[in-house]
Amino acid sequence: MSPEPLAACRGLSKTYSTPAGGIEALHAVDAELAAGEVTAVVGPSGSGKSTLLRALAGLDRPTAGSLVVGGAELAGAPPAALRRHRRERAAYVAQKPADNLVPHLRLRDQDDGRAVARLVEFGLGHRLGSRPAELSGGEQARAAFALALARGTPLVLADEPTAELDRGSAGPLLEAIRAHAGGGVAFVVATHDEDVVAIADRVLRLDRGRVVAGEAPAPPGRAPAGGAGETVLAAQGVAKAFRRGPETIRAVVDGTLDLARGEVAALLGRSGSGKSTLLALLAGLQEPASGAIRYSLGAGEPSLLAWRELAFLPQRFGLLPELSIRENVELPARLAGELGRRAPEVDALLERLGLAELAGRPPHETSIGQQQRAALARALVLSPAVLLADEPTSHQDAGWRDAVWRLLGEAAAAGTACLVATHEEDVARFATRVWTIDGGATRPRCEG
Amino acid sequence: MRPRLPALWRKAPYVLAYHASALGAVLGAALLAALASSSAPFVTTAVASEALKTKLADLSPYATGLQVWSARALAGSESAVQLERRADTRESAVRELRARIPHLGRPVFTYESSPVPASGPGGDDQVRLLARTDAVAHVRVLARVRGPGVYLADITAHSLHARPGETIRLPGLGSYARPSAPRVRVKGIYRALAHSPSTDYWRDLYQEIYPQCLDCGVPPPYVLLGRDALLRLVAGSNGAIVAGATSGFEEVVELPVDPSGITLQQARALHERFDAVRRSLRSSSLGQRLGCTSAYLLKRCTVTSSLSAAVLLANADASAVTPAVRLLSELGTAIALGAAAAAGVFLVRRRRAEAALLYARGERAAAFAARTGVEVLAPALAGGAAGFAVALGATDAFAPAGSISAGTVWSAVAHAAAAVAVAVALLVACAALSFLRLYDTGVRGLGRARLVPWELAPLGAAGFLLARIVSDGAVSHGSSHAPTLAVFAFPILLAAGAAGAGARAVRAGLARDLGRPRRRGAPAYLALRRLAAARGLVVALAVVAAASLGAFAYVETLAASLHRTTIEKAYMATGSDASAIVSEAQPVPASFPYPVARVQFANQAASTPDGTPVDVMVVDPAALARTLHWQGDWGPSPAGALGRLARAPSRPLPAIVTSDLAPGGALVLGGRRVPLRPLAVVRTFPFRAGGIPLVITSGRALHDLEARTRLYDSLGVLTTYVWGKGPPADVARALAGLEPVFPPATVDTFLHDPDVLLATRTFGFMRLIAAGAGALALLGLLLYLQARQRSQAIASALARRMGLARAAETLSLCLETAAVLGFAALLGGGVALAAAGPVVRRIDPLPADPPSPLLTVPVAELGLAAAALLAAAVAAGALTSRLARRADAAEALRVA
Repeated sequence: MSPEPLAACRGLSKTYSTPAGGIEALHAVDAELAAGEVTAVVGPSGSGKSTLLRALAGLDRPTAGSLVVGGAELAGAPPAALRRHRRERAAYVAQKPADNLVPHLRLRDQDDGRAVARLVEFGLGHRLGSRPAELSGGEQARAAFALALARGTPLVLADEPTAELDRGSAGPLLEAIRAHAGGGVAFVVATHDEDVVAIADRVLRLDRGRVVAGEAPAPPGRAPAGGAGETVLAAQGVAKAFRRGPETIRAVVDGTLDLARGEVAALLGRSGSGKSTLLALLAGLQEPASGAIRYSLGAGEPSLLAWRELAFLPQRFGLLPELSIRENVELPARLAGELGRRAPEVDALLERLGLAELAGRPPHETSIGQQQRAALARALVLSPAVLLADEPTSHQDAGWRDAVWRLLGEAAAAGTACLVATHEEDVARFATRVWTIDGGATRPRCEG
Repeated sequence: MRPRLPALWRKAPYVLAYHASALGAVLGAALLAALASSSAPFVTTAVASEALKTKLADLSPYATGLQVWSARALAGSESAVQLERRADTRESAVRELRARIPHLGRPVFTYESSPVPASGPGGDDQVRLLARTDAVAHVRVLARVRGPGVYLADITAHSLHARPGETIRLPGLGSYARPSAPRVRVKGIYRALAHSPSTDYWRDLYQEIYPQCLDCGVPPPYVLLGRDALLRLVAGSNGAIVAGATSGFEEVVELPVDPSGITLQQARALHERFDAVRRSLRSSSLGQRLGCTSAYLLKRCTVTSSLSAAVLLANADASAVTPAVRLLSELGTAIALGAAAAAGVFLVRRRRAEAALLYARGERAAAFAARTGVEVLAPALAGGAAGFAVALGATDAFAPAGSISAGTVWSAVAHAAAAVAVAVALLVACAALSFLRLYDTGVRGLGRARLVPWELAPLGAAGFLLARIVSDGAVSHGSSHAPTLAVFAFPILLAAGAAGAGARAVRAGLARDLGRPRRRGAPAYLALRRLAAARGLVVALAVVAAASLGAFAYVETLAASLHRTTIEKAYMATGSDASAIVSEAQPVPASFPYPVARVQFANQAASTPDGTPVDVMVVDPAALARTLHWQGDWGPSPAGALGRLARAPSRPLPAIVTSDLAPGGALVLGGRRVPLRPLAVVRTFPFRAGGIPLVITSGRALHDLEARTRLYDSLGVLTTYVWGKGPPADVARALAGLEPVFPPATVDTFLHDPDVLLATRTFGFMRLIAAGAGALALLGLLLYLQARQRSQAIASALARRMGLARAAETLSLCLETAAVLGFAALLGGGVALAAAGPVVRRIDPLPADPPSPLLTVPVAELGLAAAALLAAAVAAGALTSRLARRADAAEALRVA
């Protein structure tokens, strides 16, 4: 006998109004969520996962249909009832970890100190005196989840809580979800993470705002990649430290790696291991405190390399909000004076990455996964000699994750040297070489 | 144990320290709110008190002060000692009275006899004995000797042939007890007051000093002596001096108003105190000590003061300017409140993630609003205090001589506090609204009303006001000719409406244009793209900037037009740098230090043969050519024509004529037709009144004509002017020595006309409000750009790696800022200039003086403002670019 449903939606629809017209995010969704169950909401980016979570959280009001949570109808509920729902029945964990924390409060003061026990439980006892900006991304994600659980609501809604966590960091989170579900809390987790799906009691699969049946596509084989060519990047003993409040964080201690033309190399590490910092150093956005980074391209100095020589896909994309998706993708070509010549590449990338229909929209009218793919297209549009990509699949569902890896493989086959920072343990399926990073030190991983 | 305040609340008072741009927005809005709201009490009070001071100066502090005047007959039985004792009592009472009533200066006691005969070594004359506090210090002593004695006016000394050290007799003061006329020694000679310029000190005795008509003689001059000496003389006169028709012995006490620091309100209160003194004079102990209660020998005892007249006149001047100042103050406050509302929205947007988190936790909007209130309280108070200080400091710019009482300061404090409180409330309300709209809750607010362009409202209101200006005029019809409220509200509404419509059109045009493939440089492309994507806040900033700049351009145009028109009027009325009306017989000494010309003007003394009245000006052409001030836009200089006029034969009568004189070759003078030979035709000429032709001829030719035709005094009564050329103030001082009927006039006389000053200062106030609003818009734009660029630190860093040079990035920001400000300037300025055209012609504080108002576009000032704006745009762009570059993209990547 299935548990009593805590929430049920019938014919739930949501359409956002934009200057360019309505965007239908959910269409006639039927679903039930039971207390004590973990429901994984999966689907490609832009499929409506986040919208469903926001509706369940009482943040966005459905355009049509019925949404009953704890016996209360939310679809037509007055604002006060929605607010009561947010306060008493639903805890929402936003996609971006930092967004779940009040920036100017120390960790112990978040939520008036009610979450200290949970924070300690999530291994953040030594961080209680820190402000959110002083935490790593993984710590922020754990803190966000601890704060949500500490509120003691029967429904916890989490949007991609493990997207930026390595398996090691995500593990305790998943255990906590399971443990609290056992205590009667209903979890609804929008995710691309198969580990989350694995602990879910039920899976709600969405595609273009509709509930669909079926299994996730089978994992693809190794992406085509060119043979390793000449070395284009060599980093030796790179180190970088920065201040985080009163303490000095040695983010990168010994960054040593090389990258050859035509390969897809992976930099594997858990959150907080220093991979984003190392990538920023390799991209020339920061100066290393010691060590050497040399490119056998152009001037050799990373900060002096042009986009066609060194392209970078950061974890936070950096799309210009005033430009449409297409204009963002073609921006490197425009700035290089090759706008006309690169038009076919722009069209092909938009098509490959499922952005052609969204090309005229500004970024904020697309999902975070679509924005991430737009940023990838922008990085590849000039066929760069080197591509540094920081977690390029963190917001992609399994289908688009494979498509992204495949595209990287094709870029490598065309001569681009790709270095991808990721926490996905099975990266070896896609990468020709894997470097691991732990405690800021890199070393090559020998594949069995 | 007391429950601990939640951390969010504990930290709230300091949280804006982490958000500099939000802090700046709150500070700026509070500053302008306090500045605009508190400036109205300051400016209106200062203008009113300055107007009062002008009136007090015009009427003299003595005339507007308290005067207790008593005339009494002399019994003859009173000894000098008794009279002195009574005078001492009286003076003591007056000093006590002065101590009780504020704003009064040192009392002046006057003891004066009726005219009495005086005899000297060489003749007789009538004099008045006068003992007045510090009298000798207020005359020009021409000669004196040591020892005691009296001072004679020079004309008295001349009549009596008396010199210092000699003795004169006063036969009119003889008595039975003192059969021989008393003798007094002459200590000194002073310049007769009738031949000296009038001063405040002597103003109350004007009628006794100066001739009361052109044919009247000089009244009996004063013999100045000490009080006790005078009392001894009159005490022994045994009533002899009361024998005359104007018999009596007068005692006058003058308590002059101290104009420093007095406000109009205080003047009203002072006037009431004067009234109270007047009412109590007959019955109170004060009246008794002043000698007003005893009917014995007392002919009259009155209290007079012209203070009520000064208050009335000042009140009229202040009333003319007050509505406009209040309106502008309210407009400025409205702009500040708009800025506060925008700051509320900005506050939430700048901290969107934090607000969204609290929203998701189910925080009440009321709690969020209350905490926002706590967050903005300190900066709002600081901004309010700064705005109040600026308003207080700027008051001097509008009424340099104005005074502000403590009551005004408190009133301004109350205004500022109220405005800041409303601004904070509005900011909090807008923050709460913005908080409620963080997510798509399906609230649609205005519904279909959102589709109606908001610009229609201000444009409609502007149209209505223009119709009012065209139908009712642009200046008030009361005692003062100050601009009406519509004059100030009209351009602001028009500029705001036009800017809104313009912004809508420009964004639509940009969006359409950007859809077409076109090669553009990166800076222009990025700037245009940002402009096309601009929404709400940027459009609001552009509209405020357009309204501010429009108001600035408008008021500059009105002020420049008024200035030029006043100068034209001044030169039209003075003919040269300074002029004075003198008696016809007044000679101009050859040693006069500046070029001068005597000009005689006969108002409508002639006519054309068809009966059209004609003004006639009789001049010495050569002297006139040296002194005439000729404005370039009056047409070609008449210097050559004046030369020909000097040389021309006197038959037919040579003349320079204005173009509106009907050609006919003749004038009718004294009923006789006189052939006229026009040597030149000028479009206008000084003294030309609108609609009346003017004929300028030479005195020599007219004299010949009169001699030839025996047509004496053909022009009837002539008014004689002396025009002088040179530094106006110096020439005016020199002309004052010619004993003019009125003080000499210069351009400054017209520029300082109260009505002109009122209009100028009101324009100045509007300029301040416009500049304040413009600065706020600029600050808002800067804050917006900084916040945006900071939030785009990663995108900017990547764009630079893609090939966007730093210079190009800076240029794109400069272009964007310049485009917003340029749009605001062009639209606001264009609208303002178009609006100023019809309004300028209706603003004429001196309607009696030609010419009509002239539209003057202050190209230099507007050019300077445009250059400053361009510099501001470049600076804002460069500063934003610099700050954006300082943002650590790697740190942003890590924290994100």
